[in-house]
Amino acid sequence: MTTTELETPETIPALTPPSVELVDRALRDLDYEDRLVGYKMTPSAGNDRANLYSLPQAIVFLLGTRWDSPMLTPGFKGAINWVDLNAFANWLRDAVGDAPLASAVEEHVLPLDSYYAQVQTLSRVLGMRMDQYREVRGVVEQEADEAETTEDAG
Amino acid sequence: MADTENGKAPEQAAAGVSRRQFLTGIGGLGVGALLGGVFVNGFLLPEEVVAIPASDGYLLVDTKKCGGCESCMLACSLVHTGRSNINLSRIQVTQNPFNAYPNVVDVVQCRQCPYPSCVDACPTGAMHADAETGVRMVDEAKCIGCERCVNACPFTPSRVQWNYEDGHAQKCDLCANTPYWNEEGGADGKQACVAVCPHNAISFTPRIPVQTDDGYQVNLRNAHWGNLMYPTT
Amino acid sequence: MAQGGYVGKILYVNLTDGTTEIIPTADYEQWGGGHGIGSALFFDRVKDKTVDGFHPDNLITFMTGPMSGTLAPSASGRTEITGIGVTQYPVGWFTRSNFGGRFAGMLKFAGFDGISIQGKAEKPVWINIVNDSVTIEDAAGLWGLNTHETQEEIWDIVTGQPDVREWWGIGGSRDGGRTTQKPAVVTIGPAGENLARNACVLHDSGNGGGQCGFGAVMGSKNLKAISAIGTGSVPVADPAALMELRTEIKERFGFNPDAPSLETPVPGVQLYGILNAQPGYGTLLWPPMAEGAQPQGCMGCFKNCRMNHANGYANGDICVEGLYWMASSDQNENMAATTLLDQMGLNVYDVMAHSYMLELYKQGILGPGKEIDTDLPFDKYDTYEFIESYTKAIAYREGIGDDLAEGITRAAVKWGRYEQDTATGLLNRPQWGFMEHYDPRLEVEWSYGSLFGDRDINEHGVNWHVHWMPLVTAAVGQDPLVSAEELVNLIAESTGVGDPDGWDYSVDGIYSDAKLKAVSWHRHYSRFFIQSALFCDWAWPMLVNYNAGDDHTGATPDYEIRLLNAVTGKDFTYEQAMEIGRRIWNIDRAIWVLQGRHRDMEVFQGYVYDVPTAAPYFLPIKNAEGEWVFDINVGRTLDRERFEDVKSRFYELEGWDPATGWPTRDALAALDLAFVADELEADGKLGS
Repeated sequence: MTTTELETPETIPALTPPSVELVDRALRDLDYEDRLVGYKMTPSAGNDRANLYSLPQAIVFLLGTRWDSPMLTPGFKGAINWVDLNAFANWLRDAVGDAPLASAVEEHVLPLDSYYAQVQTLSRVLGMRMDQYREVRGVVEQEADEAETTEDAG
Repeated sequence: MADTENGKAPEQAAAGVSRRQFLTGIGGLGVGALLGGVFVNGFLLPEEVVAIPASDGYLLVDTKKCGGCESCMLACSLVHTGRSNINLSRIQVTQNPFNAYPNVVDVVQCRQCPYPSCVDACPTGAMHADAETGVRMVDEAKCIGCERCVNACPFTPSRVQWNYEDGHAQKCDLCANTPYWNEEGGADGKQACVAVCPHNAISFTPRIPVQTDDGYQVNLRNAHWGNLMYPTT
Repeated sequence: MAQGGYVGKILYVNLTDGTTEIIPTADYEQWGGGHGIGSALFFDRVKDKTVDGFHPDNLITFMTGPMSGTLAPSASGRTEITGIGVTQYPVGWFTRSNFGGRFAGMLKFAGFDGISIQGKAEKPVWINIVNDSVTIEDAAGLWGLNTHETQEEIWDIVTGQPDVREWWGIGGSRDGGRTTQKPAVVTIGPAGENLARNACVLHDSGNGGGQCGFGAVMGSKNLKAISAIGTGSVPVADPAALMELRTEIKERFGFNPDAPSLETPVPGVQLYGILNAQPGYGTLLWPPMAEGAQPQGCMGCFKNCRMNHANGYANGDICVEGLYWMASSDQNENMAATTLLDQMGLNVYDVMAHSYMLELYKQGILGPGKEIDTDLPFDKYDTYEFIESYTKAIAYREGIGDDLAEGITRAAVKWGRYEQDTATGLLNRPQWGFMEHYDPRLEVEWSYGSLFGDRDINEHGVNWHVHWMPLVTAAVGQDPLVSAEELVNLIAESTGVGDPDGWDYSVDGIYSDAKLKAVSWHRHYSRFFIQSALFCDWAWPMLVNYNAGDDHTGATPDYEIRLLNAVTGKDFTYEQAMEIGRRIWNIDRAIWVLQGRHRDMEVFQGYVYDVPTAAPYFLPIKNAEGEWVFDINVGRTLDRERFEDVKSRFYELEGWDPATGWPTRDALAALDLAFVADELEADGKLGS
């Protein structure tokens, strides 16, 4: 049994801070047509479609509530929550409206070999960006907590 | 609990209170006093009590590690009687699935009392301490079915039972008499419940455990149990 | 060798006239137990096999297996239910469900291998079994109670205490025996009373027999509950051998919690329990609360996959019910929803369609004053208020709950959305109205088996290895524990099928003859070992082992047979047991044919053929270079024409007429089922 060495970037350069307008727009609830579709993979039920209607909801779906230990973290159910990260980057740009974040995901996350490594790095990118959101609006975490609750298991 | 410090009751016993009165009239001291523990040697027990040797072995059960699968019960009846019957098991798991952890599961087993009221109650010597190992057990041929031992056990449920299929009293013998098992059982051998428990929530010890009225103080959960995200303290 | 396992009697209860009858188990032992006996009893005692599931003549059987109530590991606690179901669409096939816990063992300690029930009581009743004593009791005081309340009430009635934990005697003298145990009760909740087609039966806290609506069938018979308590013994032919097998299996295949040979490489990754069978399956559904938890198992298990929790919610729930509703950020609320579901007595796999309804709501199709009119608070989907009102609406048939209590498939038909939404996959019901479980376009022994059968097969023994092992290891950044090539070879060897191509899930592999042999093996193995001998599906077959270092050899098939023979004293071989499985599969097939099954009906809903898979789905494939690899299988569909060809070849393999899918006389006669062929012939439905 071997464990794959994770080759993740050592540093991720800071993004240009967002405007209040960008943050407001990025945190809004999206229409049905603009949803992101993910899959919750569980042993008892197989792959279950999950519709994600906001950025905070998507973050909670992907990373749980503890970003220091993402994906399959304590506090999560025993599920692998999967999103096509290419589609995720496009969604960030087109539906959510945060192009710099989309570019950062494309640059630092997508080239990585394994989904595991991608999600580990994604948590750093999103964590950094959410800190910037928080500085702008200071309410992001609360909204993320609230948004977790609208997860839909399709 | 009271079993660790109070010398009063044994003194009263020594002053002429019968052993039976000693057992039933123990009042606030609690049954723990009968069970010994780390201070058992400090008791001033009447001579005839001291004459009953301590058991060479005890079963420890960690109820917080128990999965309630009752495999111990199925194994106990199987190796002793050759049949499968949780009601004829000498170790008893009871559960209320509607309670909350840690109050769902109880596991009760014979504590091989230093002062065995079951042995004391038996009129024929059927219930006795084994000469070699001190384990309290039943000589089935001598059992007349009076059930005094069943009633004498200070615990609820009684650790001595009436075997209604074979017509004799029975209790945990640490698997000394297990005709349906290819392993050597007993205080110097193996125990079926220990052998089958999927979580190793039952273990054997040759030393009398620290205990209270509620039972032994047992924690068989190590760091690997913690890796499963279950409590280890 | 001595005989053992069976206790000798099957209880038959006619609720219409309140009579009971004892059927000697020996008359039916040739079927093994469980499902096989249930099918045979149904065939013998139900003259018109086309009756509706709600008809009083429908015969439902709760059967144990030969090893129930013994130390046989993960083969002691399951109860199999058979009868005509009411959930399937368009026809309620003769079918099955199954639940764990301690009911099977307790029923045998009371002296019965099973209970078969027919008729309909005039008013609500419950069946009270205390050793030999069987009474049909008035359930007026129980009707309306939820499943948990019902059990507490029955415990109190039978033992005189709501939470007995001390010795209590049965039968007035000490010879009747004493027990510290509570009666084992299987009951229905309000959903079953109100004939919700998605009503389950429930036992203890979280053991549900969900699929096929047997809760509603019980409700239609005015039967609230069956309670059993017993003090008798189950004979074991070779106790020492059983004990030896048990400890051997624990050592070799079990998870040692004090010094595990295989632990998750990433702390907190609960899913790893699928591979190493850690107690509570590594907290598969919920991590323990801060206040703690402990694993919990069915009688005689050596894995103990469930948990008891500090908040008292969802004790003993392990499967899909734990995924019922996950929308709250408060774990207590998510778990409370699962317990509410258990208490109402609903089958999660149907009623978790609230997520489908949410999609319709988001699209503006469903809601107050919309095309599908409901005042259920979908705007508060993430609140407990929502899930509580939704769940109770179904159980009590209030408002739109009246539609939903017909099952989501019939509700969608009524709303005019069924064809459309199963064509797009918005409603992913691949066959017979059942929820998609594992991907029907890829993991085809699951989908073919379900379609050629009667329900969602819900058999994980192959799935753990071909799908979950590579997925979980990939998720934690680990190489697969076993290579794709070694894996398929291990499975080919362990099953006895021999040809590893049977587990090739490639674009061509899913239509191959080798695959059809693997599908056939799966049907026969499951019908005998899982559903009749009642080995637990979450533990058996053990095709591959990850807990013994580099030795990945599974326990199957040697240990199943050795366990069966140690308990029963019979002389089963694996081949004979598989033939019994084939026989049971064929008598079931004949019942479905009598109910109207025809080749033309055996088609999947549109999305299976037309909508490509979108998420990674690990399965072994043999690639163009002939190398075995784990592929993610994205963009796959099932091809209509090739599947039609699969049907012809599979029917022939099973001895069924390729034109109709009906069994032939020759094939039935070879299985000593000439009497079944006679009935088919009389009905004009014998294959040629």
